[in-house]
Amino acid sequence: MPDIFGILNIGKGALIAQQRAIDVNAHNIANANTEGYCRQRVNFSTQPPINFSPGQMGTGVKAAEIERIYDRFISLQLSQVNQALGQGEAEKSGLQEVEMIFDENSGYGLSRALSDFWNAWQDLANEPAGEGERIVLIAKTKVLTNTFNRIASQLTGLQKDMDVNIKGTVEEINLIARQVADLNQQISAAEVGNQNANDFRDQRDLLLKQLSFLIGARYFETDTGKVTVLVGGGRPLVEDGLTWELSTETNGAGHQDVVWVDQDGNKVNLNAEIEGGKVKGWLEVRDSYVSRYLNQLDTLANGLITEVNNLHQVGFGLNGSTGNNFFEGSSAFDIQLSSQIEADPNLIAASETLDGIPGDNRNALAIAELQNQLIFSGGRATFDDYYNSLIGKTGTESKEAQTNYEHSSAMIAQLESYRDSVSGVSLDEEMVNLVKFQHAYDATAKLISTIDELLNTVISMV
Amino acid sequence: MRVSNRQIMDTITKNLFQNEKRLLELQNKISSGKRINRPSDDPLGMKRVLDYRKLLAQIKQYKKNIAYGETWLKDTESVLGSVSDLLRRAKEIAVYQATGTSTAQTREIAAQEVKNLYDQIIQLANSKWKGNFIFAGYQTKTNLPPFSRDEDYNATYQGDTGKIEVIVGEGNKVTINLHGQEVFSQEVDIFLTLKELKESLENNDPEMIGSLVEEIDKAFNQIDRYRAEVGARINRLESAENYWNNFNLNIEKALSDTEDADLTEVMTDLLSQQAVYQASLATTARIIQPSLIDFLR
Repeated sequence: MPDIFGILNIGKGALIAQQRAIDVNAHNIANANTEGYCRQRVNFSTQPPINFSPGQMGTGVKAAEIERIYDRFISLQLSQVNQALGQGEAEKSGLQEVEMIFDENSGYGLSRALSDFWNAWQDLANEPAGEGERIVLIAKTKVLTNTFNRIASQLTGLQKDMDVNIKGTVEEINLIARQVADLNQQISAAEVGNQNANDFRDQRDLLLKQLSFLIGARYFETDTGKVTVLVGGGRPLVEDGLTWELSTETNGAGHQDVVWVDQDGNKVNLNAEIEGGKVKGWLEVRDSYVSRYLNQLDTLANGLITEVNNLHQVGFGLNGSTGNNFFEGSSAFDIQLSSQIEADPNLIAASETLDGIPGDNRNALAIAELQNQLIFSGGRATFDDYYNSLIGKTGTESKEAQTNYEHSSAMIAQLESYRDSVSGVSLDEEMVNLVKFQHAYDATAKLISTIDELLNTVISMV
Repeated sequence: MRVSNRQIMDTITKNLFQNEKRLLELQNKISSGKRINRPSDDPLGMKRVLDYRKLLAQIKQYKKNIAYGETWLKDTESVLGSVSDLLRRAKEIAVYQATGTSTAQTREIAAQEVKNLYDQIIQLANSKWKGNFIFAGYQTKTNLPPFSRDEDYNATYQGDTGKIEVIVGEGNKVTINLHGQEVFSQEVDIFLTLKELKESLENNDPEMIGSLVEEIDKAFNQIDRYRAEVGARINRLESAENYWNNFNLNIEKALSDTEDADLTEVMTDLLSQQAVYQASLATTARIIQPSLIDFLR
């Protein structure tokens, strides 16, 4: 009924509505720096009008809803690039570690140790009966075997670090999955009651982003506002309010496999099916890159052991001994100088014949000349060629990982900038809105005091 | 386009980090003096660096081997020089004592001198260099010297015919020793010749003495031939050394070109990067400060 009290009602409604707006304004300003926060806005609408003469009369304003400003497609894209970013970051830091382990830039890596080893054989060839030359050869050999052992065990150590990372992260993922399931319930409960669960959605988006970053999880939203999260080849991690457990299991090589546990408690190995994220990166570093480097290092060590031993066995030591191995072991881990030779340098077989002792240096020459023989890669590479290619490979692959990482971080930066452009809080804008709502509030207050005066006038008439 | 505060801050920090990262890389290049500080800086370059370093280590060793062989051969050369001097003296004795002016008495004295010459040559044939008998084949370090004689001046050789080689390049070896048999006993048996000279002097047999002159000449030529051979080997070693010296320079240059930072270039980059960094700091300071709040009163 449009009368003077009706105007008072409009005033009351307007005061409340402007106040709501300032409330939301305050919430925006307060969360300007909250990660994942999307700015909110109060949508006003008019109250239902009343049919009257000369026409419909409006009855004021109401705060219809609090809307979260957000672009669903950027969120999806962000989660995809986050998979790549997580993987890139894990591979980049793992492979940089590999470069440090080989330590070739300092000039004191395996390459130097190999050169010194061959040169010590040439020195022995010059003085086949020399005690000093024999002792130096033993010392240089030990530097070489120690360098092999050190690199091999540090590379294995790096693989173990990856295991620790994977194990810890799987636990973190389970925790996040449970939080997502809880938020699913809260959001759906709120939205069924026609509320906008804006802040809950922000929190859930942030958690989903982490899941993509960590394990390359994919997700989609159902009609009820709940998300289903999938990992490794479409296996559910979160569905509705339920979660599935990920866990780890020690495999034959002593490393941690990522397994998904179904409802009956059956374990499924996910290693090959994880699509991205840090876990994928760590698995790649451990099972693909580092294990390949280790294999090649083993091939090199094994070749050295076999070739040197073959020649050494047919030669003769200074004391007439023959048939002795120079190296023990079969891989980069266990290559060692023969303990007998370490105890008695005279066993080093520099001579090709028994009669030629002490001056016969032909066996030492033959071993020294192994340096230039094409032994690897089907007779196309020397020891040095093979090793230097390996170092080149570690460099190339590390560089690739760095490039991939930088590419995904540039993509992320762009997408996040776009996301912030849509959803981020602008303090200037909030200030403008604050001024706008304040003025509306002031004007409404003025309206009410005017009504008051009108009522006074009416009352004083009585 | 709408611009949020987060967007501004993120862009600023990202750009400042980027600038700082470039500055750090340049500083790293300057302080290490190297263009490649880890293999991923230039994987192919790194591989070349390793190849060059290996070559340099090989060359160093080849030069060491060459120096070893050269001193061995030079020692051999000077020993052969002394042997040849002693043989020249033996020839003089033979020529002089074959003539009629010599008597049984002078021949007796000369026989004494020849015995001395014989023992001196034995001594030279037993020369050692760095503790190795140089004319013993592979029997370089033994208690038995390669040559010895009995009371009747019969010489025996206890060495062998081993050839000692040094590596002077990839697949390239040079023999550095001459064994006693080839130098002293093959073709002309020097010790036998001297023994015959001694005996014919003692027997006062000018005809026999005269007939030995030719034999001694042959012995002299034999030693000369081996001196020439040693000289040729020394030449071979010297030319190998020259080759490696030149090659070494080339490789060192190539290594430096691949590995070392061009300081002028890096310094220029650093200066321009510093300018960029300062400009970004200055603009950041201007953008961050004012907001609408400063103007609302």
